[in-house]
Amino acid sequence: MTAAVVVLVSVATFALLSALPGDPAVTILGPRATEANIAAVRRDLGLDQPPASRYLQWAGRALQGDLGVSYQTNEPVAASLRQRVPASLELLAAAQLTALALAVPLAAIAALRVGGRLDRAITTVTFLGLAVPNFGVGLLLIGIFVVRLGWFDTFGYVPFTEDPLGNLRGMVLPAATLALPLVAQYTRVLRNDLVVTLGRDHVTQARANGLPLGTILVRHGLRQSLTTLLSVVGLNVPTLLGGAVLIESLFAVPGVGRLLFNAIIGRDYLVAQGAVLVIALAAVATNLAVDVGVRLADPRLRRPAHR
Amino acid sequence: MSRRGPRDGSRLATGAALTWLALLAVAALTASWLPLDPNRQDLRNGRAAPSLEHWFGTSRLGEDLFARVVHGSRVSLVVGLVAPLLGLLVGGLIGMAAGTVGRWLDPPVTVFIDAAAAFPPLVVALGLTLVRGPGLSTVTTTLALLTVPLFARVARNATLDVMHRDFVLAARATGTGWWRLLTREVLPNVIIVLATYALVLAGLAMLVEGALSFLGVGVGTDKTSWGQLVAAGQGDLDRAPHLSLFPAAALMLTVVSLSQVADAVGGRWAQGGAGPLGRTGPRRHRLERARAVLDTGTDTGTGTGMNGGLAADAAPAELRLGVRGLHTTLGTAAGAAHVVRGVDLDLAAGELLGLAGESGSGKSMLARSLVALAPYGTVAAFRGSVRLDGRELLDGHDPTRHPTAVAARGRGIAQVLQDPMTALDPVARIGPQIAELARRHRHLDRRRASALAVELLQRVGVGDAPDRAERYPHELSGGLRQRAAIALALAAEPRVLVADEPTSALDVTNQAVLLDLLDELRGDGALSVLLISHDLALLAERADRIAVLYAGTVVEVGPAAAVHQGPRHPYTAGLVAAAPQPDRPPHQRLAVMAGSPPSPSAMPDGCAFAPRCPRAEDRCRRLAPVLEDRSEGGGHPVACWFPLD
Repeated sequence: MTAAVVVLVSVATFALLSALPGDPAVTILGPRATEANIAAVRRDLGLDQPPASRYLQWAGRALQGDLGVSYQTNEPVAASLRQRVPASLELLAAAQLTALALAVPLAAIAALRVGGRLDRAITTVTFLGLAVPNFGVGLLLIGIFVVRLGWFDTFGYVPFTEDPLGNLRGMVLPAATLALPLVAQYTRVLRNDLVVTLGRDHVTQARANGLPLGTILVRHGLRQSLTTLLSVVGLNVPTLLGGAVLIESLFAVPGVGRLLFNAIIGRDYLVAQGAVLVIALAAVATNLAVDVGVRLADPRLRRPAHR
Repeated sequence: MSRRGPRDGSRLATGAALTWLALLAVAALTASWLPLDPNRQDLRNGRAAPSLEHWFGTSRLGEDLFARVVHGSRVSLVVGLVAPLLGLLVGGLIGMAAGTVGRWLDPPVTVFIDAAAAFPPLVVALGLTLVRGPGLSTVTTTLALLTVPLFARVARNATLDVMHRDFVLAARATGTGWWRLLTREVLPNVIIVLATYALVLAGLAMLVEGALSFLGVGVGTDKTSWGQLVAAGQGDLDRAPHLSLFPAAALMLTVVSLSQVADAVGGRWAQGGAGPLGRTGPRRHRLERARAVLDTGTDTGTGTGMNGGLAADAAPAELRLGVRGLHTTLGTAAGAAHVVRGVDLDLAAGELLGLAGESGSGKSMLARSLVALAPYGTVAAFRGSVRLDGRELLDGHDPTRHPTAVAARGRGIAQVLQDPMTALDPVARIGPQIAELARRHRHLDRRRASALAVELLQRVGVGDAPDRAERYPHELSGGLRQRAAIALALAAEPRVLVADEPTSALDVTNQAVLLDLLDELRGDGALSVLLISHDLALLAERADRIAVLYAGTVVEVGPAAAVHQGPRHPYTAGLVAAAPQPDRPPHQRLAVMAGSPPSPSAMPDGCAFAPRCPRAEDRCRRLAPVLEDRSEGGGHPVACWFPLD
């Protein structure tokens, strides 16, 4: 099933890229290239062959870890992906962890005071948070922290291993921008699930037998409700990995999203194909991880009842 | 003084949202005829602040920003309307078909949905833009394509949900074709889910259009869209932040409005089965209502001169639990529900008291009220007296908070809920669940608490207890689970055990074994049991005395045999007649009481049973009878003007 997903994604990407107008050879050589030159470059790149055989060739090499060479930079695609993936992963992890760190306590508070003033406040704020356009938040943060306050003077990504502090400084704003709608989404999902869990019979029974609601929520409620949240967190991974182009452009983070964006614009097929493959693999890996996580959290899936 | 109702806030928000959306639609439709020129430049008046002449200020080139925002609404309207509609049509059909047909169609659709989720939306957007060139129709097609798998997923899940409901299972069993199922059963049930989702996605589509236009691959430069305007203002953030702010605010307001309407649509649809957790309004309002009823002291039931009646009831020698004039009101959106109305009860040490009544008579709420426990998500007020071994539990100044009652939960009065399938935490092992309570109440260390858990399991007759303690609830049978729930309740050494319909989910053999266990537990007088059941015959066999509850009040109480053999209240008589009995001739129709208990929020004047009572007279409809024994000896207390004697 998972292999089928990866294959389907790569075939679809290939088909889509092949259908694009414009010729990579023309892009490489420029508008004044001669017919002969273009034909030569096309032959070099293998573009003169039918799409199906090109796909099979690409897939065969990809299985061995060879994703080809960029038309534009002549760099191996795998190498440039290796260069870009850490920044994207760091951004993704920072945003997800920040969002979870805020959303779990917020949802817990709201569920404990269900129907109360705090619950309504949290529900309303997260409701609004879902509607804020990402780029708007990014611009707002730049306006405040860069333009007005000058706390973050320059952007740009520095690898953590080179300059840990500089790396974190560069990550704060983009991670915050990405995290904001996630906080809203996660808080709502978890709060609603907790409300259902806390209304269950075994919670009433535990309360009637003297366990405070807060204790029940932490020891029994969260464990049950986290499985739903986990699935939502997993679903967000491909979007955050490949769809954060906007944030990456705004804050000059050299991530996979921007690489993909530029590759498609520049007809750099192999780079685009490689980037999509990485994203699809990440999505599939997350799905598997979520499945394992849900199984660990819910013994009914792990140890089916023996009759 | 008018007070705002609990739903007014949300209704107001929905009204505001609809108004905004209507305004937007009008603006978008009439934009070309309005005297607003989005393209007239005035270079001397660039980046002007908002003023009377230019409501939203002017752009870098001196164009009127208000005019541009109004014209930009056209893009948002088209995108928000067309894209989700197309996506809903295609995706909804795919999802519903996959869910209905199942077998060969479902796996490929699932792979398609998973693959689409793993596919970066950006690739689709960029690809289409490069193929077709930027423009409104490209963006709309892109967004429609992107929503197809989302709709398909939701439609498939909603369809599967419908397909497993009883009425559909029945239809399938009788060989109904899939097309008929789809159009008759699935479509009507799934369409509202999809429509709600479409409203949410409409907002999302507008956001994504904004992002695409912001990136420069959106509707193109010849059209104005909000995302483009935000992007255009990017360079002037320090000098003129309003250039980005106004279009961003317009976008946000629209998305919020759509979500609000979606919430209202979804909420209205879900109201039928919302239960106590449905939108019950602000806690404060419910609190006030719950208190108001108690403060005015509307004693519609019995419970004024209560002790007189009980004195004749062969008052138990050593009183363990004494309940006097207990009232409980639940604050709900519909108003206050008076669910326990002046209950008097006595429970002796070691006694087993049966509490009988139909569902809806307030049995479970009475049990929770003993320890001032409000159902989750509700506010409840408790008034009256509950004494446990002489100590008053309802001693709070605030009728919703009674610290002594809270402290008595588990240690003084423990409870076993009715359904053993749901009474234990499904994701925690049995032993640790019991040990958790033991540690809390008996202050044991971890090792001792685990040992005690095993011991308690043994005591309630769970064989192979050390192994069973390590298991999860779903790994045990129903009977064993019910025993585990009792062991859980015993973890704190309670003096009173409330067992709420503990046998209703068990087969007859397990029922008998469980009741034997309850008998055994109270044997040495350390534990008193309040056994709640709708089954009067069962109570007659096991209980020392029986109290019959109707509409939140005790209508009859006495020795078990006397109540069962010679019921004095017409309601009790009805309960007895409605149960099958071995000594009656076979093949006789059971007498079924007409009607149902009154709603706790709309109690009739006079006797609450009068509307269903064959013996009711005018007096019954005017005056509520009090629980007392007016017979010439040999009777027991009953709350009825015309008891059966």
